[in-house]
Amino acid sequence: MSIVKSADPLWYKDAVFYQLHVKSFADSDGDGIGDFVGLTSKLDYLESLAVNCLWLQPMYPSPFRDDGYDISDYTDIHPCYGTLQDFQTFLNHAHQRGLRVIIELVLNHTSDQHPWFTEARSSRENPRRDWYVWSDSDDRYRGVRIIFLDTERSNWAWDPVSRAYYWHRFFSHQPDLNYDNPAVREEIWKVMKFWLDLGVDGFRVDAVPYLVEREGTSCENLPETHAVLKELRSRVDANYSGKVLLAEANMWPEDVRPYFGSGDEFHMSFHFPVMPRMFMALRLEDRKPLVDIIERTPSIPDSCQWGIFLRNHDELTLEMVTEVEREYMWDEYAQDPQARINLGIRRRLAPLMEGDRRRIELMSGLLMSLPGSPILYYGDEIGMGDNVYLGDRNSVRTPMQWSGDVNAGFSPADPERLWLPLISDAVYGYQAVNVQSQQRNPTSLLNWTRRLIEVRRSTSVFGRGSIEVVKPANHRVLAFTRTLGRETALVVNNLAGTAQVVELDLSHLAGAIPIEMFGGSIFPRIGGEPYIMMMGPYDFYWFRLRWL
Amino acid sequence: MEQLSALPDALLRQLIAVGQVDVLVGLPTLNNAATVVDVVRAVHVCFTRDFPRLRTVMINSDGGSTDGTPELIRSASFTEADMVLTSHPLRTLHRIVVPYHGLPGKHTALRTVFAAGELTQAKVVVVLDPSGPATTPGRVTEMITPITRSEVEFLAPCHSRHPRDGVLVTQLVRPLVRALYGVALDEPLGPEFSCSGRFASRCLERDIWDHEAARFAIDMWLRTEAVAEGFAVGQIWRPAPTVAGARTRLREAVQQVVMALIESLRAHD
Repeated sequence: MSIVKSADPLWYKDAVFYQLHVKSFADSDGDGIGDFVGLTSKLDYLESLAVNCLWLQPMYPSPFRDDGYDISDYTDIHPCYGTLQDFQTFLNHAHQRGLRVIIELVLNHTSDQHPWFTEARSSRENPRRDWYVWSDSDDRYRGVRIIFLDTERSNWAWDPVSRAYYWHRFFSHQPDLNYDNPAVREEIWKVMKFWLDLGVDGFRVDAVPYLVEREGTSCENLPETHAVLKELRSRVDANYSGKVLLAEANMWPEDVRPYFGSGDEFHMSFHFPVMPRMFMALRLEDRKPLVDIIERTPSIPDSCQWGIFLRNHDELTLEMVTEVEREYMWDEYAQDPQARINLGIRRRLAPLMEGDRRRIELMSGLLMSLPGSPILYYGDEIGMGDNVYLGDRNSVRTPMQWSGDVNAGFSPADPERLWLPLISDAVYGYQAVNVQSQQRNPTSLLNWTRRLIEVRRSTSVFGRGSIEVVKPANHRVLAFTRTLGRETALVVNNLAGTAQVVELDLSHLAGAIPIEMFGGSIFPRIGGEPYIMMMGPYDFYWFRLRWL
Repeated sequence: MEQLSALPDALLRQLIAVGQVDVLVGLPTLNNAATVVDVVRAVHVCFTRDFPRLRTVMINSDGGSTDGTPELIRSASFTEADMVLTSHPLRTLHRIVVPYHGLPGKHTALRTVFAAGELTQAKVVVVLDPSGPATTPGRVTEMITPITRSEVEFLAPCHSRHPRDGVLVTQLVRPLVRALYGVALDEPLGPEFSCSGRFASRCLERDIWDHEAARFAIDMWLRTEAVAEGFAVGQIWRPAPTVAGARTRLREAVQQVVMALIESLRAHD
């Protein structure tokens, strides 16, 4: 039986998500690859971290030519990770702890090893032929941008078996499904139903803007794509409650806005542009980039929510910044060319912050207090490092560092057999940075992060409240209020590495008494005059405002 | 007697908010409503286009304009053409408008600018002529770049001049400066310059600000100070296309210039 503590269908608005790779989290059978039995054994840890929802990276059977985003069977578990029964056991144990679980759903394409594609390419008369997008020439949909410019020359690939071109927006080994075909839409719904019936709490839906193609368009964000997504959402709503669909659409917030529809498409979507701007604001010691994007973000339906993050499984993407900003970010955060990949930076949070605990805390504080549901990336809660000399984005996908023991407690396998080598440098190596030692230390980053999450979860104002930016003359200070009904929180962040004094115009909050949310300290009552605060380097304060 | 602070409290409060900067542009004004907005726009474009990563501030030190100059600076917005020239600014662009304290005159305005430069630890201090429609973004950049690269610590652009001023400069000031200081300054009296923060701080320490030499010939005193104190001095050879304003009376002008030279010599003795 699956039990989830909160019955609130809008639970995702208050949730703190935790993203993890099954293969990197805990290995129970000694093959060097994490699995569901191992993950299940670590649920106590995740529960103690106070996160609400786990987001699992793809765990489907796959030839792994795109880190599992090339799926060859949508209704099974990759044998390396265990069995469906192992997954079910994990899910049940997670639910018993009040932890929800969402999984990846790659709608746009399959692996070319998927039986659907094998059938489709076998002959032009095959019933599944029309499940993919075929053409006798490669001049259809001319002008549509190529996403993976580093590796692909065209969105069409030649299939020598059936002597025709097939359409792919990503790698050529990932043929796009044809969503004009009702049978495809029906089959995808069956996939969703399969997992929802098992008890998963939702899906992170990969690459949503590209489902449908039309001549003479960019083949992105088309009304027909929205229609497909709305149809899937309505079927979810009709059959289940309390599920969440989280969209991946790396675009400006005004372009993402249609994916919420009128509350009838996605429940959540990532807010990609806010992420690099947190890093930029910190380095510039200037709130401007963040204020710009906050003010540019449109309102969304009440039932919807943004998903925000500092780091994830991909590179720190710099697609949603200007060229000047991108150059700045590369120069400041990725001086080693090896740290750069595509249009981004393949580094983890702690190395990006140069190991500075104060900066890590400030960034985590921003993540937890800005509008949206925060998503933590596994290992960042202990300040794990990266290895930019591993290929692709594997730099940030190395095994979780549980202890200072052999293989960091991740696996009993021979070290050579681990699917990725452990971080072993002197600063971020597992002997220095691991869960076990940080659990013993009351002032560790792990325990601090746990406390941060608890404070965030003590109120709904951060998940559901409106935001109003206060703009003191001191640009190094980012201050804003979050308001939900009669509850108001004041958040003040010093983005600078030097002490600052700031005069906040809080006259509209006159009479309120600020109570610091981490320690309960009482600050002087706000009056009509500017509220003066002294702040140490990278300090941040969260206040609950009370009119008493 | 307690010396009057060069930094009025209103300015100090704003500088606290600005904090450390890399480049400070000073704009001393007195009834420059006709031209000042173009200068402000040029500075804005220069900052965003050519120095997007540097921390910058523009400070208008006004001598009591009655034609709305401060209000114009405060409210100057930027045209679409400006926006085409620039990218989206990375940083907050600070613009401060304050009246200066003390004796009326450009020297008091400059003292305020220098004091602000010291407080904000500006690496580069630029002073622009608010009456100069020739101020373009490129020209401002030319004045900033050599200082940021530490090529020179004082940079003096050359100006075309009114014929009567031209005679004063070419026949009197230039030879005198050359004779007394041993350097050939083509423009010893120009209203614009840029300098390092170190030089600005050095000038603040000098006991010159209440003297006649500062009052009437601060521009020349600054140049001779830079030369005499051994700062690396540079000149921008491309003259501005417009003509700097003529002095009202040649006799007064000669007196002031000679006086300034004598004061400079005394100070550097």
